[in-house]
Amino acid sequence: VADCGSLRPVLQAYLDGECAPDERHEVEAHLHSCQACLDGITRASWEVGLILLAAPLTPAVPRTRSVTGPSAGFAGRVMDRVRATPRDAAPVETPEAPAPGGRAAPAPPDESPGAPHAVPAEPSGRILRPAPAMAWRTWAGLAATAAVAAAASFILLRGEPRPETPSSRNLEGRGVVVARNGGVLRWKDRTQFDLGLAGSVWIAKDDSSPTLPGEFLHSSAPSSVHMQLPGGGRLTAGPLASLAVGEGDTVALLDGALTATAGPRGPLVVETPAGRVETKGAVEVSVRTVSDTRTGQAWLGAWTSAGAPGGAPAAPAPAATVAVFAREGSVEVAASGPVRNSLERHTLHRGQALLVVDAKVFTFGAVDDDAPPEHASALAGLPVPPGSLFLKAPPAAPAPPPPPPGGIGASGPVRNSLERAMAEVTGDPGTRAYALSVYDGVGGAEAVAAAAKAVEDPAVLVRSTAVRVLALNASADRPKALAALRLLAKDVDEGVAVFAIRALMALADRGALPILQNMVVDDDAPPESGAAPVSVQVAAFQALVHFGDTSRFAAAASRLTRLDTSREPGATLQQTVATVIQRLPAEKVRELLADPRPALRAAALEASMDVEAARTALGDASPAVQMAAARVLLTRQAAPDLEVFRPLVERDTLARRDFLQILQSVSRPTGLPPVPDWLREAAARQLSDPASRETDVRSAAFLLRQAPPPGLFEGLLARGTTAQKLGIIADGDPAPGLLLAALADPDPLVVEKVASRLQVLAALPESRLATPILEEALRAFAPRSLRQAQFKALALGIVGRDRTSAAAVATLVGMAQSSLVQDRRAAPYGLGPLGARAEAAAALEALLQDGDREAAENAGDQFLRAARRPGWAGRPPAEIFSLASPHAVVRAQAALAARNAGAAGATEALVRELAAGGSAARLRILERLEAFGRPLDAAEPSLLRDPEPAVRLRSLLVLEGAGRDAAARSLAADPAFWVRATALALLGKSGDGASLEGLRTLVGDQVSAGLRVDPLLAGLDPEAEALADAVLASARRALSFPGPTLRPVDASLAYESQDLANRSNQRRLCAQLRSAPDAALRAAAAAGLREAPAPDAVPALVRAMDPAAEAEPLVREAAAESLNRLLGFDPKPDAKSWWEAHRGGFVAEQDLEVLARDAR
Amino acid sequence: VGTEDQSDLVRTAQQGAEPEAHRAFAALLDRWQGPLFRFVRSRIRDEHAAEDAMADAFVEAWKSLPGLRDPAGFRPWLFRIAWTRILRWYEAKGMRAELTLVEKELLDEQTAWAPAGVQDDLREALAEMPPADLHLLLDKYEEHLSYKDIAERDGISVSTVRDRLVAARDRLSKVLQRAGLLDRFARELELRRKHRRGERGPGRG
Repeated sequence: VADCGSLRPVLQAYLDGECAPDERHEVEAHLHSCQACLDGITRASWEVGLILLAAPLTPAVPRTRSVTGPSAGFAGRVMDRVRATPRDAAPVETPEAPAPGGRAAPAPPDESPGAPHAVPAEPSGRILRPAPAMAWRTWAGLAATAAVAAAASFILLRGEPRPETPSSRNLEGRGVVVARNGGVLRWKDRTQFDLGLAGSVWIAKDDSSPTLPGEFLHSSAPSSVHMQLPGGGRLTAGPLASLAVGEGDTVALLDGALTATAGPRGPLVVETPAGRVETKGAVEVSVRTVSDTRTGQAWLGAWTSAGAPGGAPAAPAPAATVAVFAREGSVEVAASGPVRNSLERHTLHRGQALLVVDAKVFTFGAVDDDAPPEHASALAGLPVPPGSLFLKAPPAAPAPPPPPPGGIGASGPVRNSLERAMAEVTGDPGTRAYALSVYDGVGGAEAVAAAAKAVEDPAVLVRSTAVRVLALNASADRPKALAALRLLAKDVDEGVAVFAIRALMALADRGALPILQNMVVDDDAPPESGAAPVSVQVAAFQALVHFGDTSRFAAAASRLTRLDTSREPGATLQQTVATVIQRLPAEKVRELLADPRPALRAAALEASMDVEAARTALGDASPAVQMAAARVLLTRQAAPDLEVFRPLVERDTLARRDFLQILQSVSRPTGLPPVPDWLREAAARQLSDPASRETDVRSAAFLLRQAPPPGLFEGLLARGTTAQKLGIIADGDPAPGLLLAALADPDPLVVEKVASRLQVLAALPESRLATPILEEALRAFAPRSLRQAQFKALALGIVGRDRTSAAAVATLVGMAQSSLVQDRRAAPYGLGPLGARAEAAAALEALLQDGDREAAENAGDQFLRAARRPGWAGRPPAEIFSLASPHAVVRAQAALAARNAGAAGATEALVRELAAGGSAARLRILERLEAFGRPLDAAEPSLLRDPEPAVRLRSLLVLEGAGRDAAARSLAADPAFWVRATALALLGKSGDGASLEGLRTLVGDQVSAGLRVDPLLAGLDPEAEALADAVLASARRALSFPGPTLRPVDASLAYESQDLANRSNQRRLCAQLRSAPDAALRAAAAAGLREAPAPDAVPALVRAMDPAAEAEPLVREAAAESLNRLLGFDPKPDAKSWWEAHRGGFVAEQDLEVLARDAR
Repeated sequence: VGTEDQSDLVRTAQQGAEPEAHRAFAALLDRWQGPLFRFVRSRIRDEHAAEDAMADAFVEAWKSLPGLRDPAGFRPWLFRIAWTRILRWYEAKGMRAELTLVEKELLDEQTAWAPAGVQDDLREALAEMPPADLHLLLDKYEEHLSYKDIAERDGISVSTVRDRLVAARDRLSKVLQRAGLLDRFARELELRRKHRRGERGPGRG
């Protein structure tokens, strides 16, 4: 340790941030060990505070100007920009009214001064509007001027070269740019670029070049645009939208989303390549469209040369009307104003039309034969072909109740019903949470604003949904989102608080550090009434360590003694403490080994893995330290024999449990050391204890498996608790006869465990279990769930193939022909490996035409595999690809198998299925194509316009060669992050440097917007050429976490949020489990309940396990699994895995909504 | 620019009509561009990037000026804006930046203003300081000159600058202790910070 006196000058340099790196390390090491110097440093920083305070009081101090400073002309350049920039219109408060503490505090930089997200103020009234009758060409001329301004501003943004800053005054002189806050063209997040441009086309081809009038334009800015329309209307275009403005309030939206309000001088018309939206009256619509860029360019060219239609409506229209027709592709539309309740995010597909008149509620359905004749006149001018689907007026809907006083006011493109739902805090929390999730679908600042208001909602469900919405939309209004999340981090509900802290961590909010620091309190300190629950403290500490702040290390680590580190939150705390200790210098770790706090001694010991220290620590007074010593000695195989641990094991049941677990974990790979009798007795006691958890039984059974005490396993398998049975089956390796007997156990969990072990037994040599016995056991086994049936089929497949058992194949064929759906769904798993046997191949082919979709798709997957193997005994795939299955995916699977076999016409058949399918079917087909087939040469065009981003992304990934490059070019401006990034990455890998540059900018923009992008990208040097490869890998990863938009946030965050939504949704899930009409929905609810206990979860699950109350085995099994999990047995696969295994889907809020809708 | 002068400039820049407001802001720019540049430059080594970040900070300050509630707090407020810019620059590179203890003081609004009593005592205490020491400390902490800047200006070595600063700080420490100012300031600072934390929310429960 360095001497304090000699370090003094270095300490001064350290304080001033002028240390060399090696000196800094020396100082930091010293400060760790020297409280006096640490105090001195802190005190010295206060002195600096006083010097700064004194500076203005010190008269006539000569200032030196000749030292380092900005370049010549800097002040002039800044003042040019200042003169071109209006000040915000915030009211000025004078310091005469000081804040508590003596004075008014200036706002922190990331709130007021930084405010890059400020919403433009209302127009000031000094607007110079172009004449309403101005023709498009004239309009485009103005646009060109605006284009120059926009392009110049981008040059400014890029910083190279540096032209004269465009001045709004100069442009105003030409009559183009209006006064500030008039028609506003504003790039959010880029405060430098804030020029007022009235009624112009939004123009920016790329970041550097000017554009020509009428040219197709697209901005790569991740921002929104607010624009005044020529006819008096207004629009807000979403980030990355491509649009043009014609005469009147006519807008051509090529790509992306916009929200527009009709002006007083005429209807608002939004033309998209997919169709047309026309509104009359005071209606605000949101329109979203996705277009192929090249086709779109041609379309936009035709649109501009033909002139925008505009003009007066053909027939008198009611006060508020929305008429939409989807000519090709799909249009998503939402509205506010009188019809907002009628139009909550409808998607119109090809050929569909929609009409809303006088705020009446309409639904999708059949042809509206009964529509009043005047409705038809409102459609005049729309190119609606005969036979189109129309909306049908429903029976008279009750008028919605008025919003309660004090509710949330309406503004922006929001819907009355959502606002009302959010304001009714005494109503159903599920409704408010759903409303919030709809806001999430809208996205952007609006979603953040709605979620921020929900921070004080009384319902946990709503607040937890708010966390998700805030986390996923934070980039739209980061200050507001972070402020709300910081409040939620202090929520009274642990789940909400923990997730809010994780969100702050993911969003890299270092401003939350003081809040997090205050949360972590010392366990040794007297309990404080306001202390956060332990799980929250652990999350806060984890976040602090993530940010590199270890100031609360001692306080957090002191909690370890009282926490069970085999489960949460103890496990996380132990891991985080170990992380910190591993970063400490060795001498500091040695000091911790002598720390008075046992938890710290134990953690330091485990982090150091020091054998000598562990030997010494075996004599420590603390059991926790002794246990840590045992772990070190056993892991390093440094214990002479197990005798030295006897006092520890015989101390109490907790110590015995921990020791046996350690012994199991370290012995599993290497084998057990000789086990003394006293330890066998201890293990037998633990095994026989009905209170033992499954993990405890497993560690005891593992120890005893070589020579179990006579009758112990048999007795417990017959009469033990579920935990005992499961533990023995898993790790006790009981005799085969015992195992088969357990197939008759009344507990489905036990049966499933045995069934899964049967697969292992089937694969072992016959000497372990004779084939006839196995055949008979499997034949007699009647599965009670799909999962059990799958195990049975798999075991039969293995016996049939490896032991050439005809009886097993016959049993499998019987399953394939069973009247039970679960048997038919499971049979393909066994039949697939038996494709070389004619009867199995025939059964598999027959299943391809099964009426049950899942059975047929499972058969399709196995067929795809089996038909590629040599010796396939069925018909050649080329003969059966024109299969008459009712399921699109199955037809595509057959076509894919035929294509793999080189059959003519198979590719065309596959592409036909892709073209005709909906998004969900397309996604499943593309997944198969990626897994089993060769890439395609060219993309089916409609795939690239599919509204589901995952379809567009997968379409890119299944292409190769020129077709892939063409598709990538058309998706290089896609609104979904991963689609766009993948397109740019593929182009970049094909040698397109500009795309690689675009990719770097795209990823860089996400980082600078404060989003934590996928971890694979986060740590990458943006210069690295590996970026394209990393993007491709990350995009594939993102596909495994389904989401509505494939947003660029870390996918695990999105998954975690869905998981949280499930966990916080328990009450709703309980209701669903009790009363949902659809068995799949009830099963999903049961699976969702496993994540965390709710007060009424256990009774609901128990009821659902009772065959008298619940007829569907699928639901009973899911309920049993969840209950098992809740009661602390061996953790089963999480909800996601379970759902994937059973339904090929994903248990999430959205899925439940979809299921519920279908069920209705 | 003394406190009052600066506050007047800030008020004019906040509320004045355009030519006067621009002139006032230009004066503030002139006063703080050097220290701010050196502060930004100490973190962003690329001179052009540093200058861009600083220019952005000034423009942002101009835009947001009406939101500044206390004109006396202009200096830390401006530096905090610049710090936000620095953080963004680092984030764009996938990196993080942290404030040193001294920089924390620089950005803390509590170091821009003191109650009148403290101001008087401070002025009195500082009168005991040798002017050269005081100038050196102000050059370092207010003007944000680096050791190298001072060394080049005064024609001395960097280590001499460091030693002189150590000596000046020793003397300052003694002067402040004699006047009881350091403890008083520390107490007050801690109280205010605690109060501010309290304002943000009472915590859980």
